[in-house]
Amino acid sequence: MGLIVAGCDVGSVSGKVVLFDGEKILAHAVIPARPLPGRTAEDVLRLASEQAGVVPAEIQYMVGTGYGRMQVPNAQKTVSEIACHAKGAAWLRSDTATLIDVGGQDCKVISVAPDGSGRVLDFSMNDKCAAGTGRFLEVMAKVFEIPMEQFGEGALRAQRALGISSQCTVFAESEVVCLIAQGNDVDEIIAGICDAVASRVSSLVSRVGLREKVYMSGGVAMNVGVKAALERRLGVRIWSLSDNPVITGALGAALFAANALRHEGRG
Amino acid sequence: MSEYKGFHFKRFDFSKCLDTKIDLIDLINNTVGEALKKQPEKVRWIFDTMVQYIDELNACRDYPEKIVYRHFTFAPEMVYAIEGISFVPEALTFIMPTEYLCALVDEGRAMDMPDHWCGFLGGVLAPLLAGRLPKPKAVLHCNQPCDNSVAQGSVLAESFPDVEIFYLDNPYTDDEGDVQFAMDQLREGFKYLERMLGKKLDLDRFREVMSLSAQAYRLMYEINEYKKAIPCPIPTSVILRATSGAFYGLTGTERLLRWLEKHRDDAKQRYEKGIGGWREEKMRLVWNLSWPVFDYGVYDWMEEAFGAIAVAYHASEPFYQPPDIDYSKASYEELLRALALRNNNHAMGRQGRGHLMTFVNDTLKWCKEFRADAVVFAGHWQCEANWAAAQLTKEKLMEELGIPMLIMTVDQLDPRVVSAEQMVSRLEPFLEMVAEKKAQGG
Repeated sequence: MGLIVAGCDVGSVSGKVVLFDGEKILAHAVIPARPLPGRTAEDVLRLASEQAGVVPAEIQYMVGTGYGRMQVPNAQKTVSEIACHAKGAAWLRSDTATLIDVGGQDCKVISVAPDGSGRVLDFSMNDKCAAGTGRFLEVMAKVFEIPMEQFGEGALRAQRALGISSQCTVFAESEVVCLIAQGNDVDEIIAGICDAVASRVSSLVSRVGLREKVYMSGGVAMNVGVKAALERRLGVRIWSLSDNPVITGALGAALFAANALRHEGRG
Repeated sequence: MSEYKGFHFKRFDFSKCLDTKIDLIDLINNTVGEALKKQPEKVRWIFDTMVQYIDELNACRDYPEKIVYRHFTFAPEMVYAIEGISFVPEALTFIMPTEYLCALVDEGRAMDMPDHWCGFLGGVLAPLLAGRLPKPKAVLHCNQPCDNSVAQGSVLAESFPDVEIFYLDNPYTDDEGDVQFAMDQLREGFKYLERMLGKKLDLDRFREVMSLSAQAYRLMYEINEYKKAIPCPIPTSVILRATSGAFYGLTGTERLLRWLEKHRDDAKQRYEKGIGGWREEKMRLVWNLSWPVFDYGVYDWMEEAFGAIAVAYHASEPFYQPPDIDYSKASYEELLRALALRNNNHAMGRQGRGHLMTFVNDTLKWCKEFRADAVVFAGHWQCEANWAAAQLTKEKLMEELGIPMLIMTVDQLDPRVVSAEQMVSRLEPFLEMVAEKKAQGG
């Protein structure tokens, strides 16, 4: 049996697992978060293992990350999401200089070392508030009854973005409901919502300093409206890490697992 | 309790309807006072500044004619010089059980206190307005370090309409003109205290107090020399907790000197044995602005998980250089000058007055002196003046010293604003980053 390590990222919205053999991704899985983080980890690990045709007992080392990392059963080690996202991004794209990770309940901007190591040079995070996060977009998508994966598309069709002035998710929702009631164009409202997220994120970018190339990870990386608004605000192109940016943190955790195994002389 | 990597953080029970109308001094005696008595003998001295504060609270009951309310950035020496009892109402919030503090904040909000008042000042607003605190004979207030502190002056005026307030306008710098400006005001301040307390200032007593203050500061500088050692012989929780108590409330007292001597001796002993605080030191932090006091488990975790020791703390680093004079013969003007310099450089007040660069440069100075690897800016959410300097400090630190700084929001007392777990969620990636940088020789 060759090397098999796992990275398990238990976030507020979803659970992600990457199985890694030291050189390539063997399998990955993503499931919606269960009420208990430990259960999310078990279920997503089982799914990824099935895909790879291995049993969890064959996994030689596992690193947990995400807000539920302490509840990942059998994880030998935990590492913060910041470090895992940076590590995963640098493995996928060694020229990653700035990584924007917009997750379910937080938003992180990470300055990554230029040597391809994935070392974190600096980072900034949203403070105490869901504005500028995936949860904010989720609440808004529900108002329009548009699936999350399609939510940003309307913004690209809009002629202009209607400003959303409320910083609070709950008040912003009320504001959006008012804008709809006033008969405003739905795409323009969506463009305004995407721009509101981009506005929060770009202020975090300015705290760490913008360096190119800029990549995005996390679920919101797939939102074309937010990505376009961010490119407009930052004045740079934002590149995609992979087809599945959601698993970047889990991948980084798997890379940490492989390193740990090597340190123990087992990898 | 909640557990994180083997560490337990406090769980607070906010579901209880606490009686906030009770006597707060009784509450503090019965809870914190009793708990302090049960501390193991070996570490009991650490808390003596808190005990001294509680003793002063109790003295208010016996000597109501001596009570002088003093804003926390106003030098206590002035009160001790006239033999008043220094009562810092907002300091009650530091020492009371967290659940009560939160209940009092809520009570304040129910009395139309704006939402943007923090736990530190907001926790004492309701007891003040409701007349549940001892009535002062005099009130010393000042114009720093934040808007809410200034507004607290209005609360005091409303709470005690028949007590005149002395309001100090702190100057921006320590330039000669500004020192004179402060001296002129303090001169008026003594006249005010004489009038309000009905007693004359005794010059010998003033000399004694300023001498005790100078000795305290010299001891603080001596302790700082030990803090510069690697490993730092003093643990984070002692640096954060104990020294700031000394700075805010007790300079100019004999008892503080005794405490500082114990503190110095403890540091010296550890230094001479080449040992650090309570855990192995792997990185050195400068802790900036505010240290949440509702759960010291955060600092234990930080030390245990990362060997991260806060070797310097913003509000407990001395800046006042006591004039080199013979205090036993000093003139009133010489003492007044010393008091002006002391007051201008009071913990937090110094960085809350004047130019933003004071805060930035002080942080740079600590980082150089204490050979820090990183800075944590735990920004008390209402300290607007210092928040304005946060990003600038971060950039200067990186530019000039290559030192990273974490910026995170906290409320020093109210865990409902930012919990211990939330703090850890910010600290952990930052400390991971610093550890990796150090491992790579950075």
